[in-house]
Amino acid sequence: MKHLIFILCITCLNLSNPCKALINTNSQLTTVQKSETDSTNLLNGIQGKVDQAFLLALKTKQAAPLLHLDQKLNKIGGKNSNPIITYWQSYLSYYLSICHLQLKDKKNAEESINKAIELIENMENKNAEDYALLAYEQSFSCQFKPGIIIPFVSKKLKRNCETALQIDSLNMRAYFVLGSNDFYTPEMFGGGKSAEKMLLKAIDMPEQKIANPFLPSWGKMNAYELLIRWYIRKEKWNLAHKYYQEGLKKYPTSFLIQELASKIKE
Amino acid sequence: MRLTWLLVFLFTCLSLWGQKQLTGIVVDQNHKPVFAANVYWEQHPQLGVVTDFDGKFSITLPTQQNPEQLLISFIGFKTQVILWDEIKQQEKIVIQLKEENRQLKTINVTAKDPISQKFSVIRMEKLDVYLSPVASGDPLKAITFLPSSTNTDEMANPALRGSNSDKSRVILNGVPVLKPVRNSQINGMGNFSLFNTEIIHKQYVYASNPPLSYGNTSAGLVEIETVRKLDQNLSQIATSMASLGFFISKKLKKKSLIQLYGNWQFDDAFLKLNKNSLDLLKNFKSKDAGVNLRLKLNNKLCLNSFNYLIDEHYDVLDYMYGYQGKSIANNLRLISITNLHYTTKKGLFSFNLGLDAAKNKYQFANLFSRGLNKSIYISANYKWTTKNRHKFQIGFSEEYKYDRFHDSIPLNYYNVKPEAPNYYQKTKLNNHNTECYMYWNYELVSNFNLSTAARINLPTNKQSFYWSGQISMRYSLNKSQSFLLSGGQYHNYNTPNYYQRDYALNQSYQIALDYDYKLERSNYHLALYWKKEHGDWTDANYSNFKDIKIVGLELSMNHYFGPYLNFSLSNTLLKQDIQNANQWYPGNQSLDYFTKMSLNFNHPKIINLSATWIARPGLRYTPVKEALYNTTIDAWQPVLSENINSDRYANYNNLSVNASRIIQIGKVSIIAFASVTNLLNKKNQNTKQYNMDYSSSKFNYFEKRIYYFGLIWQLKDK
Repeated sequence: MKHLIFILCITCLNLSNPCKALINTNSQLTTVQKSETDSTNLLNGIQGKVDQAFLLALKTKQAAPLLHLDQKLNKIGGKNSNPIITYWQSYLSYYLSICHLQLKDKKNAEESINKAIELIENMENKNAEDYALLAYEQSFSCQFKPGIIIPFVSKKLKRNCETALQIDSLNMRAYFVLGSNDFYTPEMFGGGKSAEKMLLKAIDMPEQKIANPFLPSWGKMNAYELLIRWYIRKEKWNLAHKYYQEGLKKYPTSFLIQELASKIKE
Repeated sequence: MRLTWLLVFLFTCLSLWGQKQLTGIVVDQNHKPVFAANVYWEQHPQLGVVTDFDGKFSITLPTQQNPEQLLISFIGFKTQVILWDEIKQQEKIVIQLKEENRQLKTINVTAKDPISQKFSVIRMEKLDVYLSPVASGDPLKAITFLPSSTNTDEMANPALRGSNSDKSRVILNGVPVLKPVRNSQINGMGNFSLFNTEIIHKQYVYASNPPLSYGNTSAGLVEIETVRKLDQNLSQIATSMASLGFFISKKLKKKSLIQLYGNWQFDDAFLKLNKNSLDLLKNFKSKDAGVNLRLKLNNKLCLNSFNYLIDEHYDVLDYMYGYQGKSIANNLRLISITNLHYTTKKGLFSFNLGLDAAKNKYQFANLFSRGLNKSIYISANYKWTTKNRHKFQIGFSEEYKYDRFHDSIPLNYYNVKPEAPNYYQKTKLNNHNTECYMYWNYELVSNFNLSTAARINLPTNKQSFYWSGQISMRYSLNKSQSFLLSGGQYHNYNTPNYYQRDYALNQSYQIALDYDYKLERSNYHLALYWKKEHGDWTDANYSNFKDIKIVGLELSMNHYFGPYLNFSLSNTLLKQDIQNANQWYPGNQSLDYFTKMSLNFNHPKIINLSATWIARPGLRYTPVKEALYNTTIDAWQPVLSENINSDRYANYNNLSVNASRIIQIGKVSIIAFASVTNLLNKKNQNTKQYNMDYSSSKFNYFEKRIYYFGLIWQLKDK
C-alpha cells in the first residue's frame, strides 16, 4: 500500500509535465540532442512515461498501457544492450507488479516483481542506482515471501543499500530505502532505529546531482512523507510540522504530504 | 531612448548569431558510446546537455570573454574536465571517460568472504541457526539436521557424509578448533558446541571436499566467522532449567565491537524433572566465559581476538567390559584465537594465531587418566583478485600439537573393576603439521566457476611427504538450478585418544556431485558421493582398521506453505564398508535410510512451533561371541564375533517438539522457549551392556523423553 500511495503521488506530480518532472524541478531543463534516435526518444523522460502509463493502467483497470511501454523498452533493449534500458525495464516491471496487485492478480504481481529483481541482479558492474532500485524492489517483494524468510530478504536489501552507499556515498535513493525499510520494520524485529537518520539524510540530498532525463529521480518526496509520519508516530509535533511545511513547499501538489495535515497536532 | 533599446537589441542579436556550437562524442575505455552522460560548463551546470544513444552531444560554446571548463560526468565514471584551451579552437571533440576506481571498495566487500565460498554446500547465518528446529540455538547442532550430516550419536560434533567426526574440522576465524564440543572425553556426551551463536556471522558447511585453504581434514569442513559489524547493542540474560547466562554485545568507535558472555550450567532442576529419562546421567556442571573483540585499527587494518575459557565437570554411569560404574570427568580448557587482517590495494592479507590448552581428568573403575593437550596454530594467507575474474590465495600454516597423558591403565584391558590391578603409564606426544597451499578460483563466465587447489606438507622428523589436491566446478544452469562437482585427495592426522595414542596420518579420495533446484517457495537438493578413506585407527573394541569405502545418496526438499508454515524432508542412503585384516565388513553406519523431517510454524507475533522426526535403522555392532574365564585374575575376557558389525541395534526414532514466543515489553524482549525431546519416549538403543561373565546382556539407550524450558531477556538499543 505504501508503494501505491507513493507512486500515485509521483504520477500526479509528473502528469503536469512528464519531461520536466524527471529532472530537478529547481533547475532548468536539460537539453537532449536534436538528432534523437527512437531509443533516445523513448528513454527521454522515461520515469515520467512509466508513471503515466501506470496511472492510466489503474484508471482503465488494465495493465495494457504498462505492457505496451514494456514492449517498446524490450524492443530497444533487444537492439542495444545498455544497463540504462535494463534499469528502466526493471523499474517498469516493479510498477507492473503493483498494478497487478491492484487488479487482484497476485500471481502476476509476484512474477513481475521477481522479474524486476532478476533483471537488476543479473546486471554486471551494478552502479549505486542499480543497487538502490534492487533494494527497493526487494523491500516490495517481502509481501510475497513466507514470513520466515522476510528477515533474510531484509538483510539482503540492507546489504544492497550499503553497497550503493559504498559506491556513491551521496546516493539519495539508497538512504531513502534504508529509512523506509527501518520505518516499516516493527521495533521488536529491530526496526525503528535508523529511520529518522536515514530519511533526514535523504531529504538533504538532491534528487539528481545534475539534471538528467534518462536517469532516476524518485524517492525524495516519499522520504518527506515518511519523515513526517515518523514524527507523528513519535508525537514530535514541532518537527512534524516543520517538515510538513518544507515538504509541501518543495512538492506543493503532493497528495501524500497534503493528507498528513489532519494528523499533525498543533 | 528608442535608439538605446535598438542598439541593445542589435547587440544581443549579433552575440547570439556569433555563438558557436561544440559537438562531440563521449566514449568509454572500450570506445563504446556512453549514453546519458551529462555534458556541462563548470559555472552553468543547469545549461548542460545529455548525450544521446550514440554518445553524441552538441553544446553552445561560451564567449571568448567568459571561458569555462567543460565537464563530462556519468554514474560509475570519473568526471572528465576539459580545459578551455583544449576546445576553443575545435568544433568537434571525442571525450573518453574512465571508469571509477571501485576496485578497492569491491575488494573490501568480497575479499572478506572465503575464496571457496561458492563451493560450500550450505551457508548458514545466525538466523538460520535460531530457526533450525533441532539446534536449540547451538550453531553446530544446527548442522546435524542437514541431510549431509550423518551424526548418529546425538552429539554436536559434525560428522559429515559418513566420515568419523575426527576427520572433519571446525574452523573458527581461520583457526581449527579440535573437539569443538562440551564434555568431549572418552565417552564424551558433547551435546552442545563451545560456540555462542550470538558471536557468529556466517558458517559455511563443506560436506565433502573441504577447501584446501585449510589442511588437516580428510572428510568435510565447517568454517565459522565471527561477527564483523553490530547493527545494535545487545544485553541479554538467559535462564533455563539448567543454566544461567549473560551476553553483552556493544558497538565501539570506528566500527569496532566487543562481545562478552558467560554461563553457569547446573543440573538440579533438570535432573529432577527428567529423572525417569536420565538414568545414566548423575550430575553435570560447567562455567564458561568468552570475549570477542574486533578492533578496526584503520581503514586497512583490523584485529579480532576471541578468547574462551570453560571449566566443566560431569558424572555419569558408564559401562565397559562387563562392569558398570561411575565415570567422572573434569576439563579446564582455554581457547584463544587472534586474527589480523590487512587490506592492500589488490587484496587481503591475513595472519591467524590459535592457542588451545586443556587440562583434564577422567576416572572410571581402575582407569585414571590425566591429560594435558596443547596446540599452537599459525597461518599467514594472502588473497587477491585480478581484473579478469581470477582469484588467488596462497598461504602457509603450522600446527604444533603436544599431548601428555598420565594414565593408570587396567593391566588386562578387559578387567576394569575398581579393585582390579592397573599400571602407570606416562605418554608424551607431539606433532608438527607444516603446510603451504595455493588456491585458484576462476569465474569463466558469470554462471560457471572453476577452482583448483594444492596443498603440500613440509615434513619434519619422521613424517613423510604428501600432497593434497582438489578441483571443483559450480555451474548454474539458470537462476533456479545449479550443479557442484568436486573431487580430490586429502590428508589429516588423528587426534590422539584413549584407544589410539598417536597422530596416524589418514588419507581420503573423494568425488561428489551436488544438484540444487530452487523455486520461489521450494528448494530441492540431490547429492551423490563416493569416498575412500585410508589410514590406521582403532575402535573401542581395539579392532584396527585401514580402509573405509563410503557411497552416499542424499535427497532433500523444503517447501513453504503460505506465509508461516514450512515443511522439510530429507533422506540419505549410506553404504559404508570397512577393512580389517584384509577383509571387508559393513561399516556400523551402513544405513538404508536416514530420514529427517520437520514441520515449522513461525509467526513472529504469535508463536514459533516446530516438530522434528528423525528415523534410521539402528547402527551395526559386533556382538560378543563368547567369554573366556581367566582364573589368575578372576575376570572374563570377551571374544568378539569374527563377523564384524554383524548385528544391528533396533531402529532409531526420535520425535521432538519445540516452541518459543517473543513478548515485547517496551524496549525489552522476552523470549520464552520450551522443548520436549523424544516426545514418544522411544527407547533408542545406543550400546549393548553385558554382565560380568557375559552370560546376559541389556541395552543402554539414547536420551529418553526430556523436558527443557527457559526464558531470555533481551535489551537492544542503538
